[in-house]
Amino acid sequence: MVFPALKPVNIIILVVTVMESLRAFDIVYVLGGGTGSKPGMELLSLLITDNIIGESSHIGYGSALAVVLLVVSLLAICAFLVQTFRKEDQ
Amino acid sequence: MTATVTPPAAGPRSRRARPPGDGPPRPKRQTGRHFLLGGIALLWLVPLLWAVYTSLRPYEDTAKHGYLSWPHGISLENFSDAWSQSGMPHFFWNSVLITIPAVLGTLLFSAAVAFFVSRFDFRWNIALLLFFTAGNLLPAQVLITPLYRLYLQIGLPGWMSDSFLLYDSVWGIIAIHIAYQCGFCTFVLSNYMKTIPKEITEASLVDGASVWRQFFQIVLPLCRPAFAALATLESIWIYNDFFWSLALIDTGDKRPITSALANLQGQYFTNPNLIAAGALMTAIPTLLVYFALQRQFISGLTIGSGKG
Repeated sequence: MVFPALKPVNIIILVVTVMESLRAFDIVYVLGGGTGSKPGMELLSLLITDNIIGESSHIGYGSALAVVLLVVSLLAICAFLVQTFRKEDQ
Repeated sequence: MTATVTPPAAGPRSRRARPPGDGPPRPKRQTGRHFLLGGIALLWLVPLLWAVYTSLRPYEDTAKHGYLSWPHGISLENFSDAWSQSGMPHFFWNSVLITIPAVLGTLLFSAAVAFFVSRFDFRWNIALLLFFTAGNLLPAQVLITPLYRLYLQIGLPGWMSDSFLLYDSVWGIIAIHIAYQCGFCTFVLSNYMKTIPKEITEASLVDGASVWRQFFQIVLPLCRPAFAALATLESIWIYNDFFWSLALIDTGDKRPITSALANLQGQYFTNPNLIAAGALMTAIPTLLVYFALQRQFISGLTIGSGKG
């Protein structure tokens, strides 16, 4: 009874949570001491930062990772936009 | 559903008026619910409370007995050490210098876009709004390569930055915060401006007000509740930011307080108790902003969802 009525809100919450987890950076950065040195803590966002502003500057590799992150987050962004703007078009 | 709607004050009073056993068992059920909610809230607070506890203990104590032990002496020494050793006043001032212009700039620019999108029949209105909303959701790391290179190319006069570049200067951080936060603010403000009746601006148009005058003297004052909510949210977000100042500022002295906390971390020796004290002091301004503007903060959470 409640969940079907909340479906639009739940979709937005789901998408925003996915986005926020893709964005996660600061806590992992502080815990790992900068480099993705600890196994299981190499997030995309962390690898990008390391490769681009770190000491070993692999600009091309970092940019490729950034494009991957962009594609993944574009999926979520599209879901959010469709959900948010569907009502206005009608 | 009705049980949650009844005010809590009615429970004990009605229980006292009626003979025992006659009333519905509602108060009992509510205590169980409150117990559960309180327990979960406490679970969420455990890391914070533990940080407070750790920051009060000297390093020798925790090194000897471990972090899960009874205290052998509690003092505020860590706080005074963190305040004086790392030069926290200076970094707090850096944070203020970044946060206040960034919030004001964000509100001004996003209000301009929202005004246009919500008031004028422009062909690409929806596309423009879609664009801003999408930009709001983009992870910051996607942009860092071009931005880093761009900041190394753009020069600034010497009186603005001693690095002569947008890189490693406060201006660059303010600029990226404005650009990045505009997406969310535009989304919320355009939703809010759509609730202002069109007749108001039409009446002012009849009286001869130009578009600039409509914007500054009619629409902006009416948006004050939305501005208050957004200013609260944005100042907390910008103050809490860690990534931009880490990536785009090279000199440790220019960093805001959040990324300058790393100064407390020695290269060979780290005192976690000192860092806990420093981190707790860093959190105080966000709490102050939150408690001072609590009402706006809560209304701000629902302001954009009303007409989404």
